[in-house]
Amino acid sequence: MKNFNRIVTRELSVVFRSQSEFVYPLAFFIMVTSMFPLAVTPEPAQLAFIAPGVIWVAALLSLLLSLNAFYQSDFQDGSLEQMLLAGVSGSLIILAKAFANWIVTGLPLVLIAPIIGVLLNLELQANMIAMLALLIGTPSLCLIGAIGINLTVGLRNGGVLLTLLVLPLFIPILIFGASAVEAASIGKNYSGQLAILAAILILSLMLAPFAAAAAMKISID
Amino acid sequence: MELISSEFNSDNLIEITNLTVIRSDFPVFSPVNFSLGAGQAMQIRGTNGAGKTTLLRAICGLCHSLEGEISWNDEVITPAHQNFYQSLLYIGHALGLKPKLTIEQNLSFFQQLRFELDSQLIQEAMQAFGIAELYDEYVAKLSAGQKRRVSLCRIITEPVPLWILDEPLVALDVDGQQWMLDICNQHLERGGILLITSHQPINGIHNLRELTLS
Repeated sequence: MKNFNRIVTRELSVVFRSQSEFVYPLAFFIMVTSMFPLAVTPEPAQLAFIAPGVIWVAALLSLLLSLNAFYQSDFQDGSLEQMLLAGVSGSLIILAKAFANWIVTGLPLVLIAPIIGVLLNLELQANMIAMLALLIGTPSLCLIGAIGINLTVGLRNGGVLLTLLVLPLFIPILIFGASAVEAASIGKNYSGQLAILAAILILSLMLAPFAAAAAMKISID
Repeated sequence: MELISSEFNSDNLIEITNLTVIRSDFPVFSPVNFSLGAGQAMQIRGTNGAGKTTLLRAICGLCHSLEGEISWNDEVITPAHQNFYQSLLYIGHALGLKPKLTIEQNLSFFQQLRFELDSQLIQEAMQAFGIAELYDEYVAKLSAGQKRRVSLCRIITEPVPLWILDEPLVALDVDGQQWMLDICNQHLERGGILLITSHQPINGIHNLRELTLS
């Protein structure tokens, strides 16, 4: 547990020293979502109709963008293998890095989503549900993304492969996340979708660290 | 200058039996056998590409496609072998330093993974290695030789018996190399074990055995 805190602290101090690299995914999220009213239509009713999908697709892609910054340098400069050789288990390293990844990328998305919701004319209720769904959904994205990035981090052009590997696994989260917001915006019951998102989070918390740690060891070999 | 204060267990023993690493169905080097006890040192030699680094990484457990056996104190090493990883320090070509953190942050992070934080010891190590004035400097601003010195400070800040050093003398100046050899000797006198590769001839480590890979 101590080592978990240490790795998280270290990740965050690296982020603090190189903000630009880590602010980029958030900037991407804001840019993409704010362009939809300009590109599709400024009509409020139609904007509210596409808003859940837009928010979720943008969140998913910006998290995908953030993965490289968190895993690439540790792999290349040898600090990953040094942590393993200090007896820290691979899954603990993954858990700590995914947590740091979520703090830096996921949490700001959750916090900024209501503003984007207002921009896209989401009602208050749907807006709050969008925030809640992102809060439950984005940690799973970070954890599942960790599996993909650890498999591809040693490859020269791993970017495309990462997308191909990870996006299919992101789809359920996308579907249930967006549909929770949609249900809330037309006044239907949305608890089922949120429960499934929570179930996915628990499942990925339990399994993803082990899968990603195994992937990491293959990449280091 | 006595920096290494801890005495190590004189029973420590690393044994390598018929070890080789398989890459694309072929062994990288012919099987290797040796054992090193407390106070013993070995230099691995071989041409470029002979597999020196691969051998060291295999011993550390970073290679998975290996054949043969590595045991530490009569226990075969598995990935979850805490005892072994508490006793091992490997410094390879990738130094494991974060350019965006200061020297002190880098060293104390690794120290804290296995030991209690001891800032005094970190300062002493940096002093001994001639980089004391760079305490709060970011690693990104250092030269190659200074980075190497920072990574080698870990041999003092993390007192473990088994040192596996891959080309530790690269990028070091003459004084640095001499200091490194002195510290290796001190380590061996206190019951440490040393496994080293180097292209330069190493003069000055007592009873250094040699193993040539083919």
